[in-house]
Amino acid sequence: MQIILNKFGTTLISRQAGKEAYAAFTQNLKSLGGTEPVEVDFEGVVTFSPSWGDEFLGALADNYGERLTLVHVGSNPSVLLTIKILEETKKSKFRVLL
Amino acid sequence: MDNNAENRLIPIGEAAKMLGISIDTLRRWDKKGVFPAIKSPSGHRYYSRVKIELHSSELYTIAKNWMTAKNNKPPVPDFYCESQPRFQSRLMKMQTLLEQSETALPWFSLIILAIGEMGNNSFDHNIGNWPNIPGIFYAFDLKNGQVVLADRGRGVLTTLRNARPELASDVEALRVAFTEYISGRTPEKRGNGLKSVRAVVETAPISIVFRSGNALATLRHGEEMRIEKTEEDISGCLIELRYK
Repeated sequence: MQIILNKFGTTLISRQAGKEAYAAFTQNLKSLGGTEPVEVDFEGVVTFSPSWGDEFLGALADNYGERLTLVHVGSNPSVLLTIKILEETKKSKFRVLL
Repeated sequence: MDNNAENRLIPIGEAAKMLGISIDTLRRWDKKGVFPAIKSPSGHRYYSRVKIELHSSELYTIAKNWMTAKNNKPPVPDFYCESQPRFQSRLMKMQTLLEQSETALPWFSLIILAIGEMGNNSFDHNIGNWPNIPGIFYAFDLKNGQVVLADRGRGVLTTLRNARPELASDVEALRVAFTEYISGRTPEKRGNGLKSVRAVVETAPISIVFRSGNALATLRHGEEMRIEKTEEDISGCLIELRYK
């Protein structure tokens, strides 16, 4: 399953918005196959913050850790910094494709 | 009209963008004599660049005066975000202006990240508990690379005591907030707002002065963070971010 982040907006900042985004997407995740990979696509994201990321990516990592890959991460400084911060707080690395 | 570089007159639309307020507000301030414009023979309003710079350098003072006022009046509407959606909307406006600027900084998203984390912290940590005025003061001056945020909330110490009852001072509270991943919203386990802001300053040429209670934290790119006790004690948080 591919999750296109820019469908949630291009400025992904508040904890509350991240929580709501994950809750809204839960329905889609129900159709996920048992071993199906989960790809989170960062194409087009302008600002990505640790609070939003914690609520959305953190929840995905908790539930689908081994199957999760971040794609089109690119060179956006807020995306790169947020991924680094989330890895520090989770004490584990994401699988990342630039 | 004198149009040399130093005394160049700026049209009202550009002046409004520089100050981060609406054209209508500038018109209103002109009519009331609060911030008078220079009128062209055809009636268009212009502003002196020097005066705009002087005015914008006062943003911090305006915020501080609002925080320390005895009355319970909100800030002027253009600087007031009474709710998180309003803050989000104004933050996105600033992001667009930074993105479209002729001298767009490649790391502008880090400025938005830091402002977003600090502004949303104010809302998240005071929801349902605002001592008097709900919401935050948020003003920016793109010309001078200055952003000011303020709230009349409970302050960092009171908030963090939810998770760390042993915290004894504002200085200690700021140190914990900027150095540890901790949530003031226990039993919620996650929390990284101010530590993320410190990571932003370590990554990009941004400086931040953050005051809460009688503590003042100074974060400058390439320097050690400093936290000190101040004479003055303020309720809530008062923040200035500079990126130029």
